[in-house]
Amino acid sequence: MRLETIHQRYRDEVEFRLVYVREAHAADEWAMAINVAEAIEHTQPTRLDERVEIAATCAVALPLTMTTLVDDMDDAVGAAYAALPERLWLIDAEGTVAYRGGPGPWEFDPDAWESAIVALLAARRSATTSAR
Amino acid sequence: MPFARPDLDTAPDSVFESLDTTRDALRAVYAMQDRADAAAPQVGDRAPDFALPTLLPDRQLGTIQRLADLRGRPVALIFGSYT
Repeated sequence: MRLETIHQRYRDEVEFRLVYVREAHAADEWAMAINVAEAIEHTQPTRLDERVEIAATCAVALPLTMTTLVDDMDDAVGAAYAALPERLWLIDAEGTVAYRGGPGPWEFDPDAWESAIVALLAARRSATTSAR
Repeated sequence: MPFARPDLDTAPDSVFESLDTTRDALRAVYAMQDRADAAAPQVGDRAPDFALPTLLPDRQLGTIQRLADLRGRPVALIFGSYT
């Protein structure tokens, strides 16, 4: 899994978080045949405990081993980051946006995300060296 | 790798059928995505803070974590769902 590979590669220097948001292709909304074929069928949760259950299944199945955070039922964080259905971001150590991936699935680009991580870490190392 | 989103005016019906959707439904999705994207922060902007519960191995929710609590180290965020 490409995202997990990137996580393992940089986890000592970067905090990774999976933010689980509302289902993109819930069985009762925009169901995808490919999911049906793989028996991945979940209706859109209407309660937080239902969302938590699918989030747990998702993290194990993908698999992604970083800490998972679960968006509230109002989808507020997903909305703030224009993150539906999927999206990658990188925030620098000062809390500033360093990389803004495009909206998925069309512009979901783990390679570009990894390049941004590499560039950010290189800049941090350079700044640390210059300060000495 | 990213791929081009289907052009609503030129893509054949088969493209939308392969996505289990319709041209009009996808038009609505594009509009929603574009509105959200226009309002989202840009590179160099302050990242919107948030406070969300962590997911524990026993499939329960744990402590609340704020993005601001992670200040001092870069934070890589993956937003997504199962389907």
